[in-house]
Amino acid sequence: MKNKYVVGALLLVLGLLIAFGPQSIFPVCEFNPEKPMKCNWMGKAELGVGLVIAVIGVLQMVMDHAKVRQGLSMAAVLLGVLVPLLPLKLIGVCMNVHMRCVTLTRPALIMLGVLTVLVGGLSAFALNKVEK
Amino acid sequence: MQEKALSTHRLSLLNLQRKPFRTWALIAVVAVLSFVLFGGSVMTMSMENGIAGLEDRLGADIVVVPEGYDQDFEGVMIQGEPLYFFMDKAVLEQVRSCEAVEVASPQFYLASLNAECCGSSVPIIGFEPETDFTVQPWIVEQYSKGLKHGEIIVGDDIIAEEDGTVLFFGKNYKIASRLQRTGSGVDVSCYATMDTIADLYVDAKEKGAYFMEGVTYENSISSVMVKVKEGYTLNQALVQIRKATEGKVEIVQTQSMINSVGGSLGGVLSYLYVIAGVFWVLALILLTIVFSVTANERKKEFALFRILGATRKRLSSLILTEAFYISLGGALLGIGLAAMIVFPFSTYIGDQMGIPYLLPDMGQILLILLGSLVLSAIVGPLASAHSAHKISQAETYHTMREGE
Repeated sequence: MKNKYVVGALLLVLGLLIAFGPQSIFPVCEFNPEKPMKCNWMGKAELGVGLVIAVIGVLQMVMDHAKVRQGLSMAAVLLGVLVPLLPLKLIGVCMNVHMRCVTLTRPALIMLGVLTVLVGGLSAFALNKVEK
Repeated sequence: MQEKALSTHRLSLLNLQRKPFRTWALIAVVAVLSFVLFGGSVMTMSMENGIAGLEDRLGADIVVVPEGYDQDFEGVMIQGEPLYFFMDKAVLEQVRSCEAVEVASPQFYLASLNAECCGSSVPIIGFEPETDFTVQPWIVEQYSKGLKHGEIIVGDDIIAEEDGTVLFFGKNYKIASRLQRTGSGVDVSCYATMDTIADLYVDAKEKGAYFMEGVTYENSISSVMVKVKEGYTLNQALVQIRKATEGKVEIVQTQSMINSVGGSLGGVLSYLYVIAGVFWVLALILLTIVFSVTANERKKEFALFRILGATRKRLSSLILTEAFYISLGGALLGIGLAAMIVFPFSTYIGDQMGIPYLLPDMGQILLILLGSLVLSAIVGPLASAHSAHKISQAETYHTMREGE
């Protein structure tokens, strides 16, 4: 029972970091209205993905049914995979390897994505044993 | 149901599980230590590698640049800043006329436009292939035979277009070779022969690049890379060059430039070593106190083990094993966390420090890993050695009757 709050809180924090990190703590390159860069769009996409992960975190804390929480954890795993895919493949970041979005934002998002997959995966695995 | 033997290892793990807060607090202490040891060592070695790489790559003993542009030259070489400056090409012949000069090779600097290759402006350096001794020896990947007109050599950080070209001033240039990674500004620079630079210069002017009046690729150069002839000292060469150029240029001694970068690095490195040492001693003291206090609290528990038949040796090995598990757990956690920062964020760390920064190779990393693991893992057993000895020597009867 205590685990659902730990998992929920972790997913909430990870989700918020994924959503708002690219705009604040590990920011993408500055927005140039004349020539917006790929990393700007990638940051916006992460905002959406991160917020969904954060909502999953809240739902984890609210829901009592183990199988529902397991489903939510699995959704978190899938979204966690999407987090690094956005800067690595789906949208990408700037070309210059010394740009902030490449040196700071991308590795931070990869790490947060891996952590989300780990938290979601472990939670789903643990909940598999719970019969409710 | 199968029962497991109560071995020293199992008993130690059960004891640690019984006091989760104390166990995690001690693991955290060792984790901080191993984090500093591993992270600090990787950063230190990266800085040393960066400086060594720049030293090797510069190659020249002396670089002659226009008066007042020595800092700009450092900016191009160390940070890869897209700066350009020019002097009269006559300087090249003046330098070549010096007896102490073995080779003098000219370079011509340009900077690409922001929106083209690589997402931002990068330095484009023209060189003379016949006399060059600073660029071509560092080619690691050869994509075509020799460097033809219209072809470019790129630093390791330059990303090519899908067709293997780079875009400069609206035209695509084929990448002929790639240079070895240095961790310095060379990695973001592009190199071309003087005839390709002539085309680039014309295109740059057409695209609106500003050049001082009188500057053309035919009568101007940006720097002269000089190798001093054997049998002559650096000072003799300096005096001769100064005389030949009538003091109208800036003479950069590459060794002094590297020393000035390395000098500030020396301070950082000493701090890192001192911090790592202080953390190790602090962790040792802290763990010694904690193990001593907890061993004192658990005196009766150990006396009971003695009554149940445990030997003195078994008691001390129980304490040492518990301490080893704590240290090993902390060491792995700290090293793991440090690795999650120093490797993925290495480019960011290097850029922030503003000095050449090149990660160690796999062999060096494994050595650092092993060293940090050993130093962190022995801290627990070392700190608990005294308590283990004391507990194993205690008289069971007196311990059990204590406080009555």
